[in-house]
Amino acid sequence: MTGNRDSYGILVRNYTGFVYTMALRMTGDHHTAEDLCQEIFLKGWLKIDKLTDPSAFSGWISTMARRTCLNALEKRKRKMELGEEEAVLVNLNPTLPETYDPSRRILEEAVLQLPLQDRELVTLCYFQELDSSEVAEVMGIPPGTVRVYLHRARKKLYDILKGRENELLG
Amino acid sequence: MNSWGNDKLEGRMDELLTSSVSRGSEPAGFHVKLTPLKPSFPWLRIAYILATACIAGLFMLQWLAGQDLTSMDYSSLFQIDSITGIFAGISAGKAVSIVAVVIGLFGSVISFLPDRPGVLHRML
Repeated sequence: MTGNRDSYGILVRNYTGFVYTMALRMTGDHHTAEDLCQEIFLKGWLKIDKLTDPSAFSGWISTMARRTCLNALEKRKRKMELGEEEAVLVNLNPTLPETYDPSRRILEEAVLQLPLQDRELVTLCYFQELDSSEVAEVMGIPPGTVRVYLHRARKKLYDILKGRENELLG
Repeated sequence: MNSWGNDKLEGRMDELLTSSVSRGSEPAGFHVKLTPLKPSFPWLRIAYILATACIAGLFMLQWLAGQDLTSMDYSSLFQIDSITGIFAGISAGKAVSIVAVVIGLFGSVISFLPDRPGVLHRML
């Protein structure tokens, strides 16, 4: 990987959806997620030489995406505190792509209702296909804690989905 | 699987969660929003360099014309007596010329810096 920046182009094309979905789940906004993708990939481009193990790319880019999204959320929070609520509140409404099928849309909307940490966990464990040790590394918590938190997050997700049971099972 | 009351719902939740896993099942209809590329004007770079070279050259010629190069004391030329002394001999015209040269050099450097979003444009 080191010095081979051509391969980064291939990775960018392969991981666009991966990064976009993580940004979408963390920010809850389709447009913000699209914007953040560029920032995440540019950060990756500048730091790609530091990645020594190509098989660790998923975790590596996830860490970068997580930090970038957290920064974006922090900025959004500060804007709200500064009284720019009007512009921000519009973006807080989850705007999911029209291409989602109804069941997927229900799931995504439920995930967006979870607290940020649970959203991150569900995204990293399920969508990003990272194992608990990789998730632990990305989130900076012990692997055992990941499993405990994930169990709680799943329970919360289940409780949210219970309200739309008929739509999901019907 | 942990049961929280409704196995069917829990099963459906797991099904949805795992079906969104593999790449290819990601949402379609999105695109990475790229910053518009910096307009590429090769003539602007040339203009920057020429302008800088002309102004700097003119400034240098003016300075050289005022010097008696054969009898110049080069050791005193680069000797600094005081900080204010450095600027004492600079007229308003020279100051403007210096600013012009600095801006020109800055523009030249900026126009040659790599266009970071451009890199991503080419990748996608």
